[in-house]
Amino acid sequence: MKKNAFCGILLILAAVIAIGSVTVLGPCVHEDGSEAPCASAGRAVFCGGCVLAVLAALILFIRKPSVRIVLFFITMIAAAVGIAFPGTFFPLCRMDSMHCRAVMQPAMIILFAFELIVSVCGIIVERNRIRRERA
Amino acid sequence: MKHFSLMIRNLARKPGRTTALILLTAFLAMSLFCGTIVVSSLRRGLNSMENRLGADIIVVPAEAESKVSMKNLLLQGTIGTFYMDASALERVRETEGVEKASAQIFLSSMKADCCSVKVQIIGFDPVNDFVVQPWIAESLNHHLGDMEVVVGCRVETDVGNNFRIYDRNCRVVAKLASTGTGLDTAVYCNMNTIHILLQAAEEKGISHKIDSGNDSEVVSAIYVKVHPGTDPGLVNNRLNGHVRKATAIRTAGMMTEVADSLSGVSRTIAVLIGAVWVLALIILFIAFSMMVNERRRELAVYRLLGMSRKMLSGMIMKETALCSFTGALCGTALGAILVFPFTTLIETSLKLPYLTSDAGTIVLYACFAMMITVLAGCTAGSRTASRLSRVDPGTTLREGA
Repeated sequence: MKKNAFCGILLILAAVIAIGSVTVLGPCVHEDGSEAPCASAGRAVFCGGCVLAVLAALILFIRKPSVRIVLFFITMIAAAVGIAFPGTFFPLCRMDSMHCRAVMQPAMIILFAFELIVSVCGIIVERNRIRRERA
Repeated sequence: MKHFSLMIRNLARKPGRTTALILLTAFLAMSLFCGTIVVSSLRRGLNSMENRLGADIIVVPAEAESKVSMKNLLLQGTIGTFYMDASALERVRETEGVEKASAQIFLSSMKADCCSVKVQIIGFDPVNDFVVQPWIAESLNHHLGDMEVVVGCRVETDVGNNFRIYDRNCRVVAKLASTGTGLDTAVYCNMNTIHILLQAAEEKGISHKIDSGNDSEVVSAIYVKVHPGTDPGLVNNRLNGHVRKATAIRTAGMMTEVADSLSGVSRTIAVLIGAVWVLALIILFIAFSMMVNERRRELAVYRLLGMSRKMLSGMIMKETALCSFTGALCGTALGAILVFPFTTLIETSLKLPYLTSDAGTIVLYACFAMMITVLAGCTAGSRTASRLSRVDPGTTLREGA
């Protein structure tokens, strides 16, 4: 149970990222229905959230520590890339007061950063487990 | 060091109790830190607005007040496009008691030009202006040239870039420092540029026609500074009587309105922090009281092993201080994560000028919040420490047997 705590947290965070990106933490919405410049960033964040959720689900079901470490490592890289999605890899609207800059960008940076920290913790825990098993 | 390791082992042995204490103190520190930051930023925003608003009176077209609230125009950068005949400027200058008068022309960009939203473009006369120019002078060491613009700190473009407005390219020559008001989202240019942009807007079918007067000779607002020693209220009345189809508004009234809203928000935050603190302190006292019974036997053993009452009480206090400090540190960090990235959201939600303090002040507030939290934790724990240190080991161990 304890060893799955980290992937449980990863799964919850990934779900918040994916669901948030299409709801309250999503990109700007134009009243006339046209696409905002930040729409691509919103889509990228949603895909990032889904990828992280799949990775977390895989870690949850796989028992072999070495494979779990690799998956945690991939999650860490994916989360680090995700931090740069809104604003760096994908453009946002040019006004700081816009929803994408005021809400989506900071919220997603925080969530992806948490994912990164949790996956690092996961790697450390799994490595300790391997060491304990060897001893 | 040995004492410290015993303390850590004591805390680690009861993870549930330790986590609960850390969470409670984290909650205390977070509420205090966030509340202090928000209230201080609001006060700083109001001061900044007072400093930036160098005019005593603003003269706007009579219909402007029905179109847009002047307070919203300044605070939230609400787009205001209203015009009156430029001859009003001469009439204002002729009015007794007026020391300086400077006109501005407002125009809003199209959505597609640069952003997902319209941007307020403000044209001003760099030679006669006393409202925007001193502030622009902080970022720009020459007068604003034709087709050059200065942008507010929240307009996402850099100095040297081109800013496209109504299919005309304007060069960004400076970016202004933050004011915490809606003016941070405005674009400033000189009168020649704004007339070119008005013409371009006209070509795009966006009219700025006025009922009378020359279309190219329009102004949106006239900022007035009264002679020192003259009553601004009196000059305001004179302007209302002297300038046709225009309304003079005293800025002091607007500032009072903002200050009233600010004190209301500050009061609400203070009450909320107070309520959180009272509740959390009550829970802390209860938690410590429960600990007295729980740890009675454990501390009796320490006494039998030779620990003095003072050492015992010191150990409990150190445990409490360590938990409180860890909680305060986590709470302050969490507060920072919640407040700083969402500054814009807080500002737009409160609809008040909001200017975050500098790093040094923030560190000071963080230290203050942590110190108060650790003190509160230690105060709550001191009674428990004194009660537990007075435990009679013989009686306690016999009772438990």
